[in-house]
Amino acid sequence: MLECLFVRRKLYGYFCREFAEAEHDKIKQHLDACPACRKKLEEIEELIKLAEARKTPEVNEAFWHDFKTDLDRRLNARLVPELKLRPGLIYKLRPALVYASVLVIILGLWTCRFGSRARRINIAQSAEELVNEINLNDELSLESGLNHDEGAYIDEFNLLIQLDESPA
Amino acid sequence: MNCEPVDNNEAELIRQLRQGSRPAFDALVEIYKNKGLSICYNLTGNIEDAKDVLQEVFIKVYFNIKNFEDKARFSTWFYRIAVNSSLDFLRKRKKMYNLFTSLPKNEEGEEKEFPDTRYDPARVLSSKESAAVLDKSIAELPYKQRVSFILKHQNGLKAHEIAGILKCGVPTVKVHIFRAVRSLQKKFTSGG
Ligand SMILES: [Zn+2]
Repeated sequence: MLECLFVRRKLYGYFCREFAEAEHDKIKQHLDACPACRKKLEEIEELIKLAEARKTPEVNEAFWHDFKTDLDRRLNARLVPELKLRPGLIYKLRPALVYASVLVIILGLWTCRFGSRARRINIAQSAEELVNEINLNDELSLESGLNHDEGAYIDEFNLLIQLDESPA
Repeated sequence: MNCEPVDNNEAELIRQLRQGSRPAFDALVEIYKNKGLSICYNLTGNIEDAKDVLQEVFIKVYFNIKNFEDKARFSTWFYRIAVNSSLDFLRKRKKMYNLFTSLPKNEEGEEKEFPDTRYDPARVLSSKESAAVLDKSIAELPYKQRVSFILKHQNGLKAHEIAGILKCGVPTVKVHIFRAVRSLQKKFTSGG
């Protein structure tokens, strides 16, 4: 009976094959001779089999598509406030401000030279115009060989999206 | 479930994610979504809840990747977030229940955190009495026993991986699982 008590405490380890061969064989010998302990082992086997049979339901492509769409929406929603609060934003936007200044100077010179023919410079009134301006800045920076900072560009673009989404 | 060490590709994705790369984030979602869903499902008991919790897990990964230490395994770190988020979800739901009723307590005096099995189609399909009794019995286990048992026998994680997730030693995990099995065996064989 004492042996049964020891064996029963080891049945789960025996089931998981956690013991060295000698120990494993010793338990096996006991089980071969003891129907009561064998029954206990069968109970554990049944329990684990049932637990392992509880599989995650099969999900299809549509499930993952919805999952990713929702995830992106939730992540973007949290990224926008972060952008608003980030103290380094002005610093990151510095290259953009430099490009904007260069643009103003060039446009100023152009206006002086072709004053009568030039149209009045409009301040960008919509997000679309802002995007155009940024694109112009990019071209300008490429021409003048400035090293455009991608992070600043993304910040800029996110800011435009924010402006675009905010009520006029 | 495989949990091989972080390969070069994964290490590179993590490096890029630290710099805020969305494509790297998308690639990690692709790698871990199935494993993550499985863990969240086994802990919450409902596929829609699991989906919701898993989205939260990936958002936490995005914002906390800077806290991930390269010495650790990304998979362990990710699973830990998945387990903690699922348990948080259950705790919040328990609070909601508590507004209306008080829950029974388990052997260690903790209130039982029931996974929601009511609206799960898969659960209805496999509605054998024994499976229901087992689900109920697992839900009644103290939380470390429950998490250890579920991660081992429903998610196929190894004891050392569970130890990493629960931040304890392998022997402790083995004791948790052993106690869980003994407790389940008692309830299960006596019909709950
Ligand atoms: Zn015996």
